[in-house]
Amino acid sequence: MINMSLKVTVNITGCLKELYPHLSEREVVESDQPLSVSGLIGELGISPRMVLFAVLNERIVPKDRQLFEDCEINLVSPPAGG
Amino acid sequence: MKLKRGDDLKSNQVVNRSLQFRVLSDSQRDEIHYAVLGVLEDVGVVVKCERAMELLKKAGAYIDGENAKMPRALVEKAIRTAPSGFALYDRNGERRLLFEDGNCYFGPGPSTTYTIDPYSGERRHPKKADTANAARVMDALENIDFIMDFGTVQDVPTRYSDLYQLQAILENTTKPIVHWGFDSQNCQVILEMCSAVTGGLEELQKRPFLALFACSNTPLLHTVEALDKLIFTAENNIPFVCVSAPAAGATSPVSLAGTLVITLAECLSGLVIHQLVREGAPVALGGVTAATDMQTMAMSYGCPEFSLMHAALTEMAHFYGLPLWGTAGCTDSKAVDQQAAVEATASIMMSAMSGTNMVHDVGYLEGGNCSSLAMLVMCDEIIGYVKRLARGVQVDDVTLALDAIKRVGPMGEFVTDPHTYEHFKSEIWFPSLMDRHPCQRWLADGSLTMGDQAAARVRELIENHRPEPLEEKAKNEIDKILSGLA
Repeated sequence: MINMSLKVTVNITGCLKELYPHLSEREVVESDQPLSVSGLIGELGISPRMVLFAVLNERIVPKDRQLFEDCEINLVSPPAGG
Repeated sequence: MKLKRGDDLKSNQVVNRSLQFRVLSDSQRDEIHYAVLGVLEDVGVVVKCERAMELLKKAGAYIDGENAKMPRALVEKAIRTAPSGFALYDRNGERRLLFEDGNCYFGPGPSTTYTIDPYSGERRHPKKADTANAARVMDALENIDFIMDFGTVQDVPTRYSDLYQLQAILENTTKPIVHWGFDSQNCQVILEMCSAVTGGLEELQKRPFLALFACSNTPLLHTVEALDKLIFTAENNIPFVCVSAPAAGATSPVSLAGTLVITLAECLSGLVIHQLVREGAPVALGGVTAATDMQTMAMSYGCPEFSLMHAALTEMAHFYGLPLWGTAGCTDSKAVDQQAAVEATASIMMSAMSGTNMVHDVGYLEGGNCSSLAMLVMCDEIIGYVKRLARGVQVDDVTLALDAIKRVGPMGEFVTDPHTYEHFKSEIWFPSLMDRHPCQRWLADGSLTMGDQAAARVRELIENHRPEPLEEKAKNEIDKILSGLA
């Protein structure tokens, strides 16, 4: 857990789990600064290219969307396989 | 009571030669068809090939930059001019497979990144020896009807992996082959290699033991590489499979009907170009209709929707009077385990019931990323089982067995009756891996699971099966072709 003050729950999905094994499937991030989806991705050390889209409280949102207290966000990797 | 009816007239008799199965009603099939025509007319496809664009323009398609919109008359003409099926021969020129109507054949798949080593169980990149071993095993398996490369080999000049794989296949099986070239130049070499076997291109065209395939890029894009190969194959009158491989929810709509529309729009637009190159050239529609698992973002090869879409696609192709290349016998599992058995059985069953003509990817693990000969051997057994199911119950004077019933009568037994001896082989299917021995015998044999038995069978076939050797003259000619590559 990263210790800051805006508290966001992040679900890591798809191949992100394999690519970033230091992250758990469900991360809690705290920040004392306003944080966008892109900022969050950076905080977690994930390459922006590896996040196809983000789902904030069950809606797909652009990566410049600001996060808010106690929100839950899913970071979705590109599809792979076949 | 008259027990035997003999040649009595039987009016209005309907005989099921197989189980009956349909996914789509006639109305649903029509709705999908009209939606496909609508997409091709209104949305169009991107065609990144000048030659194809010229042909389309001349034939009446509406061209806007790289986009081609196809009037329904153009699509319907291609459906009419394409043959209703084609035959594949074996390496010796004997007719083996007839892809038409409800004829259903099974084979492995191509181009996996990984394979399971049959001895160590290690997951690793394929080598040329793996292709040779795979072809040898497939040559021996009763229910594997055609051969594919089963993995892209990495221990040869990789620019020509497709060609070295073909060499290994040609030297280790006589069965029909479905292959692919990296590009049209490699396809040319493939034709030269196969012509070396038949003694010339004309003989290969007359009795093809090779079909080639290429894929569109979903959604609605035909790349120059794929179209070069399509055009090359049509010009040379070699059977071609026009494949679309969508992932529902990622590259095509998440709804199964929407994915069918995209798949068919790609297949039929490919068919239009193919038939414009050479009217009447042999061709099949093809689909690898996977669904995206939203938890893992993986293309699932084992989900129920995978089999449902393939069955529906088969019905659409047969509605067009065209053969279908489908997919089954594969799994998302990483091992030849219970999940693999469940998923492979369901998809093989659906393919057999719907009458998919060419069923590929048998023996794949990990959603198509890894091949396994043990999985292939297990699927060979599953296919045998399913074929028996699909044959259904034969009902005639012989199988009604009224004479035998009369002979044995109440309180008797049928084990020693001649009817049993005469018909047990045709009525009752015999497994080669599935164990029906008493428990004591199973324990004494080492308590082997079906997976253990499949792995052992693979090793036994690699070591002991001796395929008919390729003639020395053809072998030398192929060596010469490959040694001349830059």
